[in-house]
Amino acid sequence: MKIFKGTLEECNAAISNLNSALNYPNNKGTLRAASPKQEEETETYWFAVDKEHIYNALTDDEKLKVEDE
Amino acid sequence: MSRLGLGSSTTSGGFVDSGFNLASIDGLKLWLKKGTGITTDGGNVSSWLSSAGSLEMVQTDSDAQPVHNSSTDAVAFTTARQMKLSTGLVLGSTGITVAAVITTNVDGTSTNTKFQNLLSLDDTERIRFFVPGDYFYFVGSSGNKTVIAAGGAGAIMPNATKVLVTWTAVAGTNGAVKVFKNASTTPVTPSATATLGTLAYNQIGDDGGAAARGFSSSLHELAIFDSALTGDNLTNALTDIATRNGIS
Repeated sequence: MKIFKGTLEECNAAISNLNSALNYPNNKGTLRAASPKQEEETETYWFAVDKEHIYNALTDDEKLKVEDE
Repeated sequence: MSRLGLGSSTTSGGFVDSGFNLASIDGLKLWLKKGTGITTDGGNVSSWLSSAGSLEMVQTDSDAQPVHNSSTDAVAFTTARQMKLSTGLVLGSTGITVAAVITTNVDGTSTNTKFQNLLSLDDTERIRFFVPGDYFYFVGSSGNKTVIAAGGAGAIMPNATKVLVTWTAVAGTNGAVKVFKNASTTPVTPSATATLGTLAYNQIGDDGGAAARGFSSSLHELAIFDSALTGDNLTNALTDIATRNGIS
């Protein structure tokens, strides 16, 4: 699974960009692209980007923070 | 259509007629009916409205929404995908019946997919499907486990098999777990089952976090009753669900 991994601030910034690019919230029940999740006992956060529409909406810089889990 | 041999020995009567409505059985609290009440956003499921009562499973985050297959009406959960009830539901004060039609998806590529919680309260497991290696078991809040299938010669359920899994239990007792699949005329009855306590049910799957456990199979239908169905009620309910989902 591809995940975006970074600090909480980096995750929130990327999600904010995704929400703008993907027009979330919408009227189909989707409020946001993702919510950051914390890795246990670390200050690292992540969210899934394995769905094509989410990955493709990341900027090139943001894609550098994507890794395969 | 044949009747599943699920009920007590006193079961009587003919086949379930085409007018049978699952919601006519008392105690049905949640019914995620095949292909019904599903709202999608680009193929991703944002909500699944119960066909009984007013409960709704929702997921407002796009990355965590399961994917709907419009051809099969399967709702595919993979790692980090989950849905939660819009309103909490506490079950099990007198008993419980769970009927779930799933197509198993063994995914051993990540530790996050090795455990498959179907019913859970946040991160607390309630009923777990454990699929990799062809293991398949239920585990209750007490930690008691019910092994449904194991790898090797004893396996009764290879990967990518559509099955109807049922669990019935009266409060304070162990329940009975059974698995039905096509061409199987003998229900699988485990020798031990999970212990029923008061169950709080609010989500399918998990968040896929480092210690979290997901549900990576596809869900076709799920019905949860706040009672232990018996006799005709059990037989009719499960026959109706199995028939609708092509399990005979």
